[in-house]
Amino acid sequence: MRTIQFRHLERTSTLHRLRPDTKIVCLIAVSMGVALNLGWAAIAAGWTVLVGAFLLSRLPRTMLAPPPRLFLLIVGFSFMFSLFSGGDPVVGGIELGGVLEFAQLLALGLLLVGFAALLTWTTSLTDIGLGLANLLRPLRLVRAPVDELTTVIVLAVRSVPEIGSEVSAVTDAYRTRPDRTDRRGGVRGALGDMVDFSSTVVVAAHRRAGELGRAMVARGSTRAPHAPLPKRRSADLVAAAACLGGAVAAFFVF
Amino acid sequence: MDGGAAPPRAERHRGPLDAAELADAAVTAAVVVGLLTFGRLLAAGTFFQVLGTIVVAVLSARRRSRVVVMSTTASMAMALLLGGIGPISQAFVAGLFGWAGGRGLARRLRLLPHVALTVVTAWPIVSAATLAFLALFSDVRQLSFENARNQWVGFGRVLERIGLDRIADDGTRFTDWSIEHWWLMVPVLQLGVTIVYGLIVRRVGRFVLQRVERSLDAPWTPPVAGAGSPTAPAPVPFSLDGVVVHRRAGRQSVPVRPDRVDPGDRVVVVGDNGAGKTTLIEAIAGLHPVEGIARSGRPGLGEPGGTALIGQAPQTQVLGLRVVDDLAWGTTGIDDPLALLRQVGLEHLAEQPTSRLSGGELQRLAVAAALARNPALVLSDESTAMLDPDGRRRVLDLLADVDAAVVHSTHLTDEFDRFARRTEVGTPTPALSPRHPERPRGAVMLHVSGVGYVYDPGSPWERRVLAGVDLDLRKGEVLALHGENGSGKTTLVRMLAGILRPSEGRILVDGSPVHERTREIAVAFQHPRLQLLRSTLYAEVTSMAGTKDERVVHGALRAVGFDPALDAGRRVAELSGGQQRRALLAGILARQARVVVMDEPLAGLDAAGRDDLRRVIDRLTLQGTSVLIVSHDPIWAEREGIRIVELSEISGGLG
Repeated sequence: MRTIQFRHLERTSTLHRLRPDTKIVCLIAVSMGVALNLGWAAIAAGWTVLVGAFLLSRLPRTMLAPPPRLFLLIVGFSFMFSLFSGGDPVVGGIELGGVLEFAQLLALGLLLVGFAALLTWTTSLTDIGLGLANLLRPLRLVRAPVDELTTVIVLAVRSVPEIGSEVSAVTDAYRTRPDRTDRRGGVRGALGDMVDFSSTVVVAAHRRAGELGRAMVARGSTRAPHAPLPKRRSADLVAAAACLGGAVAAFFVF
Repeated sequence: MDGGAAPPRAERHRGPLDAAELADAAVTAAVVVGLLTFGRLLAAGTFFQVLGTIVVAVLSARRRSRVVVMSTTASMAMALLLGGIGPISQAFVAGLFGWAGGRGLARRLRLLPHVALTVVTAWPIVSAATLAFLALFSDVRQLSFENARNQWVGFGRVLERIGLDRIADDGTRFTDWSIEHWWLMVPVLQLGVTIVYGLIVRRVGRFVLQRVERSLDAPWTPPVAGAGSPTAPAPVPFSLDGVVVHRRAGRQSVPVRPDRVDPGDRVVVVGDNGAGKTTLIEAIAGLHPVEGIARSGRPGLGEPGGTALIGQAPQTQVLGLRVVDDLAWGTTGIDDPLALLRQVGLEHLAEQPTSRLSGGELQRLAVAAALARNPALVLSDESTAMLDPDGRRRVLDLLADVDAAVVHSTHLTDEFDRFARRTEVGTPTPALSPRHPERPRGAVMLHVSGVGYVYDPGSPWERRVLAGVDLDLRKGEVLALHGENGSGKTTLVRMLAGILRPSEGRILVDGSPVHERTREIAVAFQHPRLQLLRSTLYAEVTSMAGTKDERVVHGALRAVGFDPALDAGRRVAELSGGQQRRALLAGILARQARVVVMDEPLAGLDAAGRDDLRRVIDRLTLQGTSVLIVSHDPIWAEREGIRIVELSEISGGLG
């Protein structure tokens, strides 16, 4: 069954063209703004921003596939128990207090995931890495070890696709083993599988690390160079100002 | 294993992370993020979070705390992308318990002291962090707690219906009390979680750490060339005579004839896998202390006018996120980066993410990074081994034109004549003369008809990779399926293995759908190292074969050159690359499948490895097994007299 996915989708839109650091700042500002001023008003404002941004992103509606079944099952049961718990207000003889509270929590959770999803859909992993590196740069002024951290992030982002394919190669190897005659079942078997799986993955990852380390030495530097992003455009300034301003205003309004 | 010697750790030092530490921190962060992503896809978040904890524990057992902190901060930053606060806290938890558990593993503590250490170090931190978070986001806290209470009360109504009023009432009272005293209950719950993590890391992480230590050298800190050195580097001329390399593992003498390399020389270093080519190249680069290399000055690795080193794996040569960023790594302002990229034919990709580059393009970028330093000596360590024929040719062309001395190591005989001089390491195995055994032909064993595959159908990511593939493989037949990179070879192999179900068409093994007969089809994927999962050679082959029949397993071990009496108990982690490859072949043989599929079995193989492979294929066909070899390199199959089929010709209708 098709389910919702969190992957970058290349398109040309205002949202895609925004600088990654702008988008990260907006994501954090709006999420914090809603979470710190919780209430139906703040949640409604957050959803308005989210839906507006989604429309600006010109992403196809087919992105919005149904969530995983397990999630729906948990939500269904929670809704049921919330309904049983009752509480004010009472509409048509049914106590809706519990349900409303659950709806609020669900709306908040989906809102936060929605913002993160929008970031993922409109921004490549490479750009996220560049965006994080640019956001960390000002911290150099307070003598935080930013260069070190930036290098780790850059190398980690660089390694994610390869490590991902290594993890799936190990998974494939598992799935094509015939009946597991050599392994006991139960907890011991599960722990044994965990050892096998993580050893293979970790050894592969550390070998990669050895090569990365050697490549850095071969370049004569252990610091990722500053990677400038394209110039800020007016859209970046408007978006950042709106999100930061909105988040601050939320403290006074709600 | 208790009471064994403490595992080797990197020498204690302070200050910023060195190259090896940065790399370890980065790959660990990438693995943790990868595992959390997998966990979310498979709706098994907690299991993968525990795996992530073990991965961090291994890092923490081998490296100092600063490395773990950097790694965890990086994975938390990247988790931002995975959906906000949930994944970020998962990355934090994995980092924290991994750090604490790794401290215990490094000290070889027994179970109780190990858990106690985890509690003492990690519990205060995780409690304080959670309390701080809940205090800051008080609205969210109240809403969540209110919901938790509602859930319980609602559940209590169900309990009352079935006459369990007492439990419902007590539960409600307890819930109310807990919510009122949340600042007390949160740490109490966290204590339980901490103990469970301590137990798991100790039970599982200890064995993982053991295997990792058997497979890898002790943490090694390569020296970064001294940029502040007063003398200019002068790597050439240099001469070799009785080379002995001092590594952490011990002294290693490299069997190479005396030789001398002058400015502008073109030298190819040849030798089988494991003969010591990489050790020699690294020694020339100045990465290890060495005797028997006389140079005119410092090698100056990575410095302007010094030595440039290009390694084997394309993906780990290139460090920057975009092509231009990579070129800037370690250089102080290149005058004209575009001119440099034009020289290697990459100027159109300057702003592109390096993750989109092919292997050949990555290696050309590595050459450009070398050229940016105007080196006097370019060392290339098997830099062409992983490339397809076209990529190989282009890298060799570039190396031929470099205005510096070039030393290129390879095991590929057809590259020798591109270089003026040849130096041999070790004694090369003579290639066997080709023979073309009459292979029996019988009934159709593997029948592929009209097979196509579409990734993510119906979503915006929808992508078709194969359409209308028709293929028949008869009993005892060997077939080489040739396709360029990106032609869908790997997808086809995964369908043949029964991992992916074809979007359309049928794959039949001996008349039945492949996913019902996975026992009858054995698949050797690329990268043997990622397919060896057990601890000993015998356990590995048994598991791959799915049989404990000693006669079969021993026969298979003997067929690939192992001695069952001596080698059966050997640890997989301690096998060399070539031996791991042979272990995989032994497992395939012992499986006694009707069809064997091999994905790129020749990648990185030297002459001896090719002979092993040929022997195994002959043996398989003699026992009536059909063999399908999927490769981007058709040349060797021609030499072996194997029928070649082009994937593009049997995959029709792909627009």
